[in-house]
Amino acid sequence: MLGGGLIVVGVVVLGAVNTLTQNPHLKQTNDAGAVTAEPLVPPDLRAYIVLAGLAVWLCYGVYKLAQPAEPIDRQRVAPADD
Amino acid sequence: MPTDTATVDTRLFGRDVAYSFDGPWGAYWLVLLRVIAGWWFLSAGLGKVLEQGLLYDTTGWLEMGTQGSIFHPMFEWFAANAAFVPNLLVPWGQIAIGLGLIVGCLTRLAAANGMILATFFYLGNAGWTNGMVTSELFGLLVFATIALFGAGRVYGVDGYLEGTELLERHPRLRYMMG
Repeated sequence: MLGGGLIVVGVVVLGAVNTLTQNPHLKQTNDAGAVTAEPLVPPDLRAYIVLAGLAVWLCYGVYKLAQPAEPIDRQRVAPADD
Repeated sequence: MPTDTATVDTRLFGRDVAYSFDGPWGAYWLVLLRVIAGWWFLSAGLGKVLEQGLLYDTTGWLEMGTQGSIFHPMFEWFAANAAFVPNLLVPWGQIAIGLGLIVGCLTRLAAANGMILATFFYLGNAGWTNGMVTSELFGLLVFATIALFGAGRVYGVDGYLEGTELLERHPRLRYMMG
């Protein structure tokens, strides 16, 4: 849940913040190379937030792999007919 | 095609969630995703090996292609000190992941490794000229979907392995299979 939430914040929510405040998603420069407009939320910050979300997923995957495995007969139990 | 339905019945963020979907279509879709994503990586890996031999030179991409990205300092270090690691892992990792997905063998392990490689490709992006939703992000999400839904059990080697003694002796393997 946390991992997906961070990814949505980094990609969607902060993207919407830039759009709704009428800021560009990237630093804009003119022909001389001078910066003319900057995003309210820099893309690097958004990328770090997405990375944090992916890291949470990785940690969860490693945790699932590292915890003791259930015996086969306790995995994938079909629902009881009642 | 039969019209059996599969049901999702769970709690998400404290709320009951229940819905049904068409089981055969779901299984069909997972196989399609798995095979297409597998071919994406297999063809990319094979192309690199056929073009440059056993070790693919990734240093140009690591040093120049990712300039300005959040991974650039790490990539630069690898390019200068341990280039053989990405040179070996990128093409052969892609081939192994692609083959694993196409035949559905250790599908979850292959998809998880695909997610790791796709993360490097996605966040190695510096320009973001097309925004933060890129093809690499979609690739990453496809791998996550394959890992999540056990796509290897449908027309895959994992479906066969599931009924073997190997899995009884090593139940942990189940987490690596589809």
